[in-house]
Amino acid sequence: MTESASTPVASSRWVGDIWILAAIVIAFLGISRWQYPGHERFVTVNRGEVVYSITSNKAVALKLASALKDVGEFNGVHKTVKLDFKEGRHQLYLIVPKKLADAQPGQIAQLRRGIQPLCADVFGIEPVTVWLTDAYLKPHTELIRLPATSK
Amino acid sequence: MADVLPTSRRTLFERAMEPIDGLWLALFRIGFGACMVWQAWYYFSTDLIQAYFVDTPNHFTFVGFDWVKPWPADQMYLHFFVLGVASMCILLGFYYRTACAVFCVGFTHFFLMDRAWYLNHYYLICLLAFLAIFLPANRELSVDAWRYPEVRGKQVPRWTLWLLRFQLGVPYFFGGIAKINRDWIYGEPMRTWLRDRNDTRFIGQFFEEEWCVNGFVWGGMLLDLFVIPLLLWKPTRIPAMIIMAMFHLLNTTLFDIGVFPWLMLVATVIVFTPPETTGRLRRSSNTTEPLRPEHKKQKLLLVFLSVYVCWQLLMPLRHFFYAGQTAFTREGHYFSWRMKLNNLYVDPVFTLFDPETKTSRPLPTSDVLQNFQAVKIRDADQVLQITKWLSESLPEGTDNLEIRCRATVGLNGRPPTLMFDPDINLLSKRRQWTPIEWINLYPEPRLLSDLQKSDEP
Repeated sequence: MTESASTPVASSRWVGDIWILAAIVIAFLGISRWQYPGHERFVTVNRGEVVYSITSNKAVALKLASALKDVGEFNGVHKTVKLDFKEGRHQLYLIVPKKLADAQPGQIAQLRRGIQPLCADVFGIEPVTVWLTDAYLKPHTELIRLPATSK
Repeated sequence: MADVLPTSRRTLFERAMEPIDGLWLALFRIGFGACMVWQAWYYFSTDLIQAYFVDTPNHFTFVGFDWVKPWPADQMYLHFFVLGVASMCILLGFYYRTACAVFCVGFTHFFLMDRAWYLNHYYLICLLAFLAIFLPANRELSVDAWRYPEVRGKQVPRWTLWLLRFQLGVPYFFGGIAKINRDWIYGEPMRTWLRDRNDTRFIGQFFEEEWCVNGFVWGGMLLDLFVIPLLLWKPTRIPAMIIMAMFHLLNTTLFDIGVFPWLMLVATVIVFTPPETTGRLRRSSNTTEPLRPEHKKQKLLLVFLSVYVCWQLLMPLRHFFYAGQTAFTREGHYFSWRMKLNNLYVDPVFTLFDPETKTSRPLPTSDVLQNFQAVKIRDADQVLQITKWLSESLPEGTDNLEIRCRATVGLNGRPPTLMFDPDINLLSKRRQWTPIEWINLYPEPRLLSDLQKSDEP
């Protein structure tokens, strides 16, 4: 490392170092392409609509994002959607960062109508429990629990 | 330099230069490198690079760091690839110091790109990578030591141990100091988070019990405050390590905080185990070797690192000199190890106000802000940045209009409180290093306990 690069020994070391670096680059190239099943994926759909899903199935995530666009803006508030496929439980969380008391009953019904069919249609699994939570009125109070849908 | 110092200081410097067994430092390098390889891989295994840095047009920067911007798409991927390669070089000890420098610059660049993604453990990684540049962690178990005899050695100066113990102790201690506040002791936001995780296997059934909430609250605070002294004292070291390991394993189960619990677990075990104990892991116990002459030159480095230590001690305390409740104002929140303290929701509604007609119309942020950024808005500085982006998208001839914002903050279950006067023209405000004087300083004045009582039927 401290030898002059002009000596044959130093030169051979440089060549060896380059080979080692190349091996490291190839190794990380392999690592960077490795994805284990079930790992969290973040999928961006149509700028601004981000689906946080715990699934490696990109097609399912895209379909969900597309379906959620039809649900419509909920009281002009951004929606955060979380899918939870852990432990065989299938839950969809809609965390609405706004005081839910501001929402009109019709808006909640609209949301409910939008979510219920897609639960079974998009996931093809049942039962799916949908939770709508709000952190303002009371920390993460369960305000509305939509019943599981049957296909 | 040592000659002009008083005797007591000279003794401290000489003690700092004493050689100790260096196997622990090589193991730390391997552990840190492995965690960073995982961190770099994580960004490739998800679509975060694309979502956060390629598809996102605007980024929340730190004041003074507007010049730190994401690269174009391909270069952004290359940036993270270089981070991954540098991490592997650190892990293997290959051109170790160069790799540390590259990783430090690259990761700090990533850290500064978007404040919305500020995490204390990212900050810690920046600091550890910076310190690693100065640590002779490649003397053993490294490609450098294998290929270059002049690098090899089984001893390191004692200051390396002091420095890493200090750096790892800082997040614990100041994290504990930050937890000494009314909300935390009352049980928020821990109660909320535990309730949200009551489906955790085996232990989740207890998460809605008050004794369990109090156990997490007091256990977390006391562990943060006292784990370092307990790790340093021989009679309590092993029990403290077991408790610390359980704490981090529980954290990784309950909270989505990535590599942090593993980094802290691995680093703390390695760094707080006595070097002579770690040294027994080698096949040959003969570690006697002459002190390296370059150690004499390291005294200047120690002076520099002493300044660094002072900075690390003072920076997390600065919020005590600011007015208001830090959790609400966020002044002094960053770089202060204020971890897991707030369940915070900010809801800003922007309007374009015409002072002549006294009329206003909504100003949607969907064109300048991604959804995942919108839920990461925390403070008035971010509101000012959004204002700037909105103003840039306004058509010509609107110079006389004002941009106003009604921003409410919900903190730890309190009802929303105004962040600042909604009639302020935000275009007249500038971002600043010093605390912002036009924001409200305190949230909903009632105690959380009062709020909960009022909710009861």
